[in-house]
Amino acid sequence: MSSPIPILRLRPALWGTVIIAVLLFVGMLAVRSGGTASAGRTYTVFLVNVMLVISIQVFIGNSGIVSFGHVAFMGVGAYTTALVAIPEALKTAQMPDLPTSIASLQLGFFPALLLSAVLAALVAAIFGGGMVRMTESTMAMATLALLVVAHTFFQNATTFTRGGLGLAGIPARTSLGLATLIAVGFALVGRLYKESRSGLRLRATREDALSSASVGTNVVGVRYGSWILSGALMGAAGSVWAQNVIAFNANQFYFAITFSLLAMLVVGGRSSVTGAVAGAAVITFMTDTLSRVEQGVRIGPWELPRITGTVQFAIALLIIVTLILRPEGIFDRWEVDDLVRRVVDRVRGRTRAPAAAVPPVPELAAVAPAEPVAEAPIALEGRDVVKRFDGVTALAGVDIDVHDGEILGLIGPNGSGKTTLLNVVSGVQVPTGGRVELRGEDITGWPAHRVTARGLSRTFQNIRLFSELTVRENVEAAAPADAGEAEVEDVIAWFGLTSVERQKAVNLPYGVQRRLEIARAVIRRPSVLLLDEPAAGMNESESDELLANIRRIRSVVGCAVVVVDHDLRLIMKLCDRIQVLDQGRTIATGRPDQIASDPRVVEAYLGAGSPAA
Amino acid sequence: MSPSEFVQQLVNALSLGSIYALLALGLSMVYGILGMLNFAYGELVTIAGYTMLFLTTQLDAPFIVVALGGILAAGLASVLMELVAFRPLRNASFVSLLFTSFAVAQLIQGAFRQAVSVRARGVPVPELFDEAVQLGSIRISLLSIITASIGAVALVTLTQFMKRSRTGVSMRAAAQDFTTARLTGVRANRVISLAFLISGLLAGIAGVLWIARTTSVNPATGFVPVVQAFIASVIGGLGNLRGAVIGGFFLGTLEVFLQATLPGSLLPYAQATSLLIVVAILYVRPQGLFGQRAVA
Repeated sequence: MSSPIPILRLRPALWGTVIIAVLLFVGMLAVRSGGTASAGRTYTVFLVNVMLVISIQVFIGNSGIVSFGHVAFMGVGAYTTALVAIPEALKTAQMPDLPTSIASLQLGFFPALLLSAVLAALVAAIFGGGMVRMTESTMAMATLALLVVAHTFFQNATTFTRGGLGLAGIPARTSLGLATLIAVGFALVGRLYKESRSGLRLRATREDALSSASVGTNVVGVRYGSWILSGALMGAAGSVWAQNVIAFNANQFYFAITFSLLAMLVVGGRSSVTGAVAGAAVITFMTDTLSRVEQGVRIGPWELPRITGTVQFAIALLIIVTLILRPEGIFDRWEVDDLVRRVVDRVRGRTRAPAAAVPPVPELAAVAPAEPVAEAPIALEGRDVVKRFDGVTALAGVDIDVHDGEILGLIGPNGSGKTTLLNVVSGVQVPTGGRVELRGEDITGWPAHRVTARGLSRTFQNIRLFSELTVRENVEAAAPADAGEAEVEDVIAWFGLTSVERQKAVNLPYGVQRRLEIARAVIRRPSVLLLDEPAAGMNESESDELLANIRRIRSVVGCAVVVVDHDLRLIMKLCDRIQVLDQGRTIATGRPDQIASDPRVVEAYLGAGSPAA
Repeated sequence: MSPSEFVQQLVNALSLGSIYALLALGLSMVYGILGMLNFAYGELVTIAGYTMLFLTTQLDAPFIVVALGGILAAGLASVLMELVAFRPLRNASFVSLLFTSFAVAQLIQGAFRQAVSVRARGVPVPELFDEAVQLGSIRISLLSIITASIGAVALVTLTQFMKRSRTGVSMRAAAQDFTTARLTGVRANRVISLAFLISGLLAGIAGVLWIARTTSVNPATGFVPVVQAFIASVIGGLGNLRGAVIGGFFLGTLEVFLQATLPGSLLPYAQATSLLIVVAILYVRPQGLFGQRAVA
């Protein structure tokens, strides 16, 4: 997926990284000028932890799926670096069976880092292909399996790893200054990814995978991309780590380190790059202080960063307390630049616009009058569409035709198959039988994101916004790849959402949420727009405004519209044509006046003997 | 593999499988009701192990008392865990709950490391367990038979409880749709505590059987059982109780037969291989073998 970064998202990303960079450099200078050698070592460990945690954050933070398996990639990176960086004599002494082609390899810091990243990405690509298809809890378990499998491999592939005995003699090339630079690089990559189009789309899948697909996101694809990027970063971080600890063994890539890295992520705030840095700081310095207090737990001739009982205990308590007080971590979803902006706003006395002050959708001068559309080409066509669920037939062979520029109303009693029909034509569900065509192209059984990419957009009966993203991000996450900033702003302004564009969608009042969901569908520039009960829960004046708005969408975007609703007053006024479903079959189609007087409709819809609406 | 060898391995598979089935069932029950993966579940096995250690070495109790003590301790610890650590986070996200249980696991491990020792301690088990039964040409370890029978009894008892008793039915309802179950008058806190109690008792039974096989306990004892339980319940479809049992037996069988058939040089990879096979199955059926069809 091509991912141009809109200018607007680049600026906060750069600002945030600059602030983090300044903090890291100030810390580095302070340690270098005033600190002891051991303070310098601790600071380097902290910087390496920053790299490791940001690598994990790229996947967990943006996708919302927990991975216990990332230490496997760190191991791949560390072993790769050891195998290409240990001096040849030391290598052959430790691993006599090593193929000479590997034994004679001698790579510098950056070539080793790059190779580690590439191999880790490769391993991630191989194992991830299946995992990213799973549900979030299943995938969490599969990553645990990955950790166990990788650990088994590191322990037993002794020709290359020397298992539990470990490898030593890696050149100590991770200097304090270099580590600071690389850590800043990781923060930049993490933040740029988060703000990129793919990153934003992935964050939207975290909120709602189904509606992500319905705004054109290939959910499996963006998850896979971030998984591989995250694996590559983890491999690179593992390389830096190896060149800092200079000796390690297979048992280090297991539970203890997984636990402490995840602790950093959770305590700092898993959705935020700033949080990852903060978490790494808190846990690293806590670990360091506690081990100093504890002393005496030093194994082997090297100083290995080992986690002792007390430290583990303290970290566990810290996680529990943090999660009770701040369930999403210290920084929650906020980055450091968000906080700076908030403080600046407060100082300048700017306040957030109350959501209730959202203006109605501005009136446009002219709305194209309803023209006869029967001659217009067919935009969406369904033939003999059947859908069965475990013995229940929801659609028993329905035809549907929507012409360009037409507004088609779809009505029928509850359970008549209206929503199922929308689901089947929009790719949310696969039809059991029949054929669906969009502008002459057979789209039967296509996944939702492909259908959306061909110009069909929809909303959902129960609003499905990306709740924790802002109004603007909701629209941006849905924008087609070639849509610019100006187009996003136009749509936001058109729907009267400019004053609330920085608020989280979940905090908007109901009516405004409905409006945002339609805005999100409109930014796709659909040729067919499906609206599932857009007037649900609206009073008469709101429903009148909606009616004007739908007409306006039709004339501005030039799309065909299919509206499902129970508000017959709205449907009768709005639609050019109405199709009535009952028990999975079409019982009538025609102009509103024809439908209103059709006895079959009156009987099915209102019950026999009722007066017409 | 000769026929007699096959029968021996089959009994081993049933025995290991029933331990995994019990573990997966306990895990799945909590998942079904709360939608949470309890990572600290393996620590219940550890707690059962240390209780057994304490009862045998300090009090010199007979093994039946030791076993019951281990089971009860695990059940109690499970209920306490929920009250102290999970209840304050009742409405937190799946990820927050997962991490909390992860932290609780580390806390308990840390406690044992501090209070007892980092090293493994031997847990004496009756010599009876080492004996084998000779049936014609087939030799079957007595422990395997005992394990498989106890596993079967526990599973049947639980099934009957869930099917016949009022409490069991309300728990099955809660596992399928907790919100609706609450609307029909099922009391949330009671059902949740009870789910943790049953889940803990199951972990306790599995733990006692596990310790009887390994005859030792250390602070990290719970790790392998919890991983296997996770995997088994994922195969069966998370939250699906029948699926969890089948998943457990499937995983046990897979592991035993891989152990028996893999060449010596690949033996260390037996567990890893079975995990890879499971992941491959999930590739084809991401929702597990019985996922989405909520049948208890």
